[in-house]
Amino acid sequence: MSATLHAIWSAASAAQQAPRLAAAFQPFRAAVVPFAATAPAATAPAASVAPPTIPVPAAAPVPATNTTPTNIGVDLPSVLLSTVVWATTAAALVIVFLPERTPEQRSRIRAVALAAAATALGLTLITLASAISLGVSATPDQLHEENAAWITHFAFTIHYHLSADGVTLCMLALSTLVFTSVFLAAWKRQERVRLYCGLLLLAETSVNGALCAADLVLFVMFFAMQAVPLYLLIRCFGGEGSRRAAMRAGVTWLVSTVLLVVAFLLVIVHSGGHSSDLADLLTATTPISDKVGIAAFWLTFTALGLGFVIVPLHTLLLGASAAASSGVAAVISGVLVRLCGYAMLRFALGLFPAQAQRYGAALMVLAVLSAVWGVLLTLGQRTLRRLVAAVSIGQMSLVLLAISAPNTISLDGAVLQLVGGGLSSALLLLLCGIIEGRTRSVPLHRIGGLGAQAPRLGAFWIFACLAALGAPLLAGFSAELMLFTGVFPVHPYATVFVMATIAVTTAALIWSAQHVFMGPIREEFARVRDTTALELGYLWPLVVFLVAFGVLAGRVVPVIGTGLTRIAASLGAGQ
Amino acid sequence: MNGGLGILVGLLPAVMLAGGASLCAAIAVARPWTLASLYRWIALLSTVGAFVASMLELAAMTHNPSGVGQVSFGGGLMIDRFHVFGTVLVCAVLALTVLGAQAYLRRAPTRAGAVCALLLLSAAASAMLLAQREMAAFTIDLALLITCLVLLTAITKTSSVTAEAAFRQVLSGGIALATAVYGLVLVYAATGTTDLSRLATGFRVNGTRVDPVLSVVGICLVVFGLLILVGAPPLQAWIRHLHEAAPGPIAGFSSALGVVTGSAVLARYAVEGFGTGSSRWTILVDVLAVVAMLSGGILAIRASTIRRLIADLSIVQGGFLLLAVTATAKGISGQAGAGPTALLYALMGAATSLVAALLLAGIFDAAGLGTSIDAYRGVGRRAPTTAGFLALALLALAGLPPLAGFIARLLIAEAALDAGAGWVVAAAAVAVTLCGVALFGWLSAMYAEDENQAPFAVTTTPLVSRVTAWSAAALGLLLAAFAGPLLSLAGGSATALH
Repeated sequence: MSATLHAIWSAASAAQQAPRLAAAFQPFRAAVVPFAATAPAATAPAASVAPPTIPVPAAAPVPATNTTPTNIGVDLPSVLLSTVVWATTAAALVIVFLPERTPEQRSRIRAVALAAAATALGLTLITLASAISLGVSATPDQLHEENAAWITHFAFTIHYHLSADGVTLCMLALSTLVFTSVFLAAWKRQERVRLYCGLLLLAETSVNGALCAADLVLFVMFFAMQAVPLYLLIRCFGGEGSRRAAMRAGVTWLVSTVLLVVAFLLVIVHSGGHSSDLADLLTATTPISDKVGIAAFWLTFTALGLGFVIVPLHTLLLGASAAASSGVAAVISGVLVRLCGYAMLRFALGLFPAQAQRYGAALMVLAVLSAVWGVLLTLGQRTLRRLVAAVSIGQMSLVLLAISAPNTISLDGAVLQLVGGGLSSALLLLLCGIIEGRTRSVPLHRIGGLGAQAPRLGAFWIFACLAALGAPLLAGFSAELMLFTGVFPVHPYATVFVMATIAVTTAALIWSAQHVFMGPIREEFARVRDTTALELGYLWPLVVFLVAFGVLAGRVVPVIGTGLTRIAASLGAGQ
Repeated sequence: MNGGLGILVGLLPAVMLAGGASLCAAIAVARPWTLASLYRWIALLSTVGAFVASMLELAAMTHNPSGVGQVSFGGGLMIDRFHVFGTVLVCAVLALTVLGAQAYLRRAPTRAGAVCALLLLSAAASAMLLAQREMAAFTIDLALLITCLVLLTAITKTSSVTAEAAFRQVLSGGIALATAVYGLVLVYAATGTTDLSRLATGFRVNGTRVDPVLSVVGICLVVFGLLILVGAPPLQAWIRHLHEAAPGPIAGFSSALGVVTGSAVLARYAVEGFGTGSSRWTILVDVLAVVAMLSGGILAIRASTIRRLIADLSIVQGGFLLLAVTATAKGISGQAGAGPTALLYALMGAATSLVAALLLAGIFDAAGLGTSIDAYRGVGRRAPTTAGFLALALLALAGLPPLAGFIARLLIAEAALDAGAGWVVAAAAVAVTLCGVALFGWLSAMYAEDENQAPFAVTTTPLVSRVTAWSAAALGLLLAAFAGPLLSLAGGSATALH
């Protein structure tokens, strides 16, 4: 708790802005943070009461593109990011040639898939841990970078440019962890194991690649790669209504891709930089015209908004989460929706800072609408899966609210919210899968009293609900605290309104926990089993990470902050 | 290279292909009972010979930065890198077809000689056409190419549907040829010479200015005639009939050869021939490109057979190629130079994905599966390898990532935006989405549904043909992965256009 507050304080002070906020925090901080006096950023200008503006670090130069990996204390190979991205594709290629006739052969396929996912997870965690252990002062903007020209003999240059900053690493941790958990959750699957694992592996490559891509074309390539695996995963392994849901999800992703392509081409053509590299575009000397900028911003926003579950574009992926198998739903809600949020920060905000600030009020209205609609949807759901999926709308409305009032604190909070919300959503959806398996997918009103038979399951569910709502010591708490403190000075009424919707969502989730796990034991569920060792195996890591991101938020936030340097700098330039 | 030797080297690829065709025809006439494999070997050796000859041409051009190796017959025959690129591509399509057609040649050994001869002769006509700027020679080459393609369809007749397809092809080909020839006559009237490059100068041979109306009408008619090869509206129906009726390898060859030759010749004429009139005819081509992309996309969603799906996707692809051609034409007025590079790269992806898709559909056809979507239900479970490669080929054809088709469309869109054709790019974006929707339906049938249990065995097709089809499909991935060097190659070839 104190570490979290200290991190918030450091971010606020180091950025030399939000003095009123800093002043407001001073007594609270003095009481809670015992080592506040020794903190380097304890000299906030309390006298200044100017309204908080876009916080830009005093010296926030945009770093030049680094073609070699930055040494962060651990001797990692220069192909680290490529390994994280492509290990899963390599495993998918291996799986294609493995037979799946006997249980042993199917186990082999699952083992290969799990090994690849675990490799990506392991490498990501090592890198993230190294960055955190070094602390913010020793952490460069780009923790790892791979850059090679891919297509040079054309009107513009396309780079195979992968880079990972603090934000990327946190998102990679979310992605690789959720995928690994989903592979574990599919350990007992006996039907079409090769297709399931192969498609999931390709989906993981797509997500990890999109997270690491620092070139617009490369990002679109990875982003669009998702469409076919997503469609087939929902269609082939989904339940009732999967045909319609798969088509809608697939087409949504395609439309997103097409809009992104058009938006990015507009930027590339009009920037005059003859490069699609993000760093080159951010440092381009010829600014794109206002008209083109507005068109490209809204195209990008709409494209990503389709996956971001913003009202009124929320129904597409929401339906997919409800119709897909629990593992795939966990990937959709826990990773893909958050990927769109990440891309919104990285591209909609990073590339079009002036436009994002100009239309901040419109984005705020959308965020409030999404929050309200999310609550109404949550209250109206009759199945657990739909209930959990609807909670995502509220979570993503928080991120949109942060984007509508971008500053270092709110964006730090938004990233933490993406990670924490993704983990809690994935946990809830995997739990939904377990409950559906035990109760044969009956509607919510017919489930009850499971707690007596499955206490561990009930405990996990309550924990996941608390995580989704932002209970203290969990990732969601730090995220919401930072987010609201960052946004409040800019949009006070909207912040209060959205906070109120969270309270209602809290009530709905607690009601669900009460309904499903409390009360007398029902006869049809009298023989329900509690969580098995395998289920514990994939639930515990998610729990541990939710706690870790909450408890260690003070160590993680500075690392995230370094990743937001570029965006903060561009926001300053866009003012 | 100068004089007769230069011309000989320049024409060597076409000569080798035509020589192979003559040999096949002679053997077929003299010894009709000859084994089909002999014709296949002759065709393959001729293709390899043409490829080596093309490489020799390329080596001879190494020291010429302009990319032009030989200009003969007063500029009527251009042996340059652009021509070499096109010829190599034609050879690749021919090699894939010959290897992939093994099953068909075995089934119809009496036609093997004629089929191989026509394959080689049409490839030779195509190679010649790619170097032509002289109107009379162009007309002869175009007529030869269309005749060979029509005969190929007719000779591989398996049912009355094939005969109808050939007849429609004759009709469309006749209209196209007549239109192109009439256009060339008008161009001749405007310039006073059969050298097409004269048009670009804007002056007649006697030094007076070219009549603008006459030249623009002539250009439009020539373009209209060439559009049939690409499979663009309004003469695209032959593509659908050909794909549905002809054996897979033959349909793939005819379609791919038409796309490569038509687009490349249009690009050459756009830059070297039409000159100042370009800004007028490009509007026509832009409109036809949009019609091709949208109509093909919509029809693809309704496609109920795999052949029809491939045909509709190839029509969409033709629209994209036309977009690249207009970007090429607009590029010469100084706005951009990305069009020809994007076009040449797109041609590689288009040709290989078309051939691959039709070869793989042919494999299922030969296995007794049928072509309807009902027949394809659950095929992903029952023949996973071939179905997987078919899905890959269809993805490449539809232009979905991460395959070569996607990169090609991206580059074409960039070139078109550079050339100021934003509205066409918007239509192209819609077309890609429509193609994706169409493909989702088929992927769903292949992988998610399992009603059809009728027995079939893809092993009825020889392993060589299957591996060829798989390799052609995998090329979509390789072309994307090595897009950098390939675009460098395409860019080098595009610089030869002056």
